[in-house]
Amino acid sequence: MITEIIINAFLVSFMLVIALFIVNTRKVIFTILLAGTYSLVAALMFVSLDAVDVAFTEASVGAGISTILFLAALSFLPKEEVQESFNKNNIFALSICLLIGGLLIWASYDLPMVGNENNPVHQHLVSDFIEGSKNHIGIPNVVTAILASYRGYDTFGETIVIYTAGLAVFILLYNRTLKETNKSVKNEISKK
Amino acid sequence: MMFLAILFAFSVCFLLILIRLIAGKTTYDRILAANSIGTIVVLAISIHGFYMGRPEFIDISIVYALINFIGTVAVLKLFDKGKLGDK
Amino acid sequence: MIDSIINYSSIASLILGILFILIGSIGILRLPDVFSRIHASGMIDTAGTAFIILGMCLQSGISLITAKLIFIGIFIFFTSPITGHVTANLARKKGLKPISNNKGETL
Repeated sequence: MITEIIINAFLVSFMLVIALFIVNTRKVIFTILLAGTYSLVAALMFVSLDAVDVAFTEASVGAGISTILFLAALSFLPKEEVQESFNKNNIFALSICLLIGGLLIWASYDLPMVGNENNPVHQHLVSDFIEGSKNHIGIPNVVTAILASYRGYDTFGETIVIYTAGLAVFILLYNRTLKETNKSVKNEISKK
Repeated sequence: MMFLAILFAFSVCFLLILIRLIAGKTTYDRILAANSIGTIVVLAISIHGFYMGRPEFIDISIVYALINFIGTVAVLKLFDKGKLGDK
Repeated sequence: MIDSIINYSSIASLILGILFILIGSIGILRLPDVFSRIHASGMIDTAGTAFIILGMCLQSGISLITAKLIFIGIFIFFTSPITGHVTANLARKKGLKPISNNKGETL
């Protein structure tokens, strides 16, 4: 128990440090690199919280596809952030922010406690899933059953991302030019 | 117990490389550090599976290893050509 | 008897792998420029990964997990040199010079 708390504290402090530097960095590409690392640590955290399927999603979508999409968008953007000037003495905006924030905090007191088993979330469908998933599908892990079968279309996108990543790796590793290089090397040797 | 010690050693390594990722002077340093962090996370997920006694979740490590390579190559290609894609 | 031998050799190879990874990360932190840091990164990716995966394989015995671990090991072993090569190539192409030796010649 205590060791898990220590591991999670380590991971959360890493995430905090990375997030602070994401806010501070001025170059867009460093922000993207740091965001990829952030999502790596987040997925490690999900693994340590036993949410393996969420970690799978974070790996494929958070670290993989979103980094590459950000990069593709970056090629249309300027490389450096432009300094904008804000009016820092805008009392009206500040008061609106404080008001809305206060209202949201006030409303959060009406929410049920996190992790309480009598919450409305846990009454509706979850009992069905817990009792029925083994008979319906035959997968022993309930979370895997929900992600892979009940919400199969949703997870299908992530599966496609992973499949595409695998294909891309093998395309990159497959050496198309090997034969041609060998030929040219042989020609050079024969010329000498 | 041994796996826990290994996890802590991994977090020390992670911290050392994270310093290089944040402080690194050139972009190539940062890309190299991000790649090494990816490798360490791949190993740490496998070790964590053994530590919890359920090493069936190594599939995530495979996915990470794939995604890490693709991401690094994409960043490098963006630096080389200035854009992704063929044209 | 054989069990304890396998267990001890697994522990030894895990410790060896951790040692390599620690040396590699110190190298990434302390070495002076990109081209020398690639050596340290390669140490993490090949020696450290190989020893740690060997240790985990010995722990898990002959099963599907071992096959997956070997797949990860082979994959990292083949892809990380490519990453290092592309990084060095690009850094060289963009005009970064490796630091010189004592006589002032760039290597």
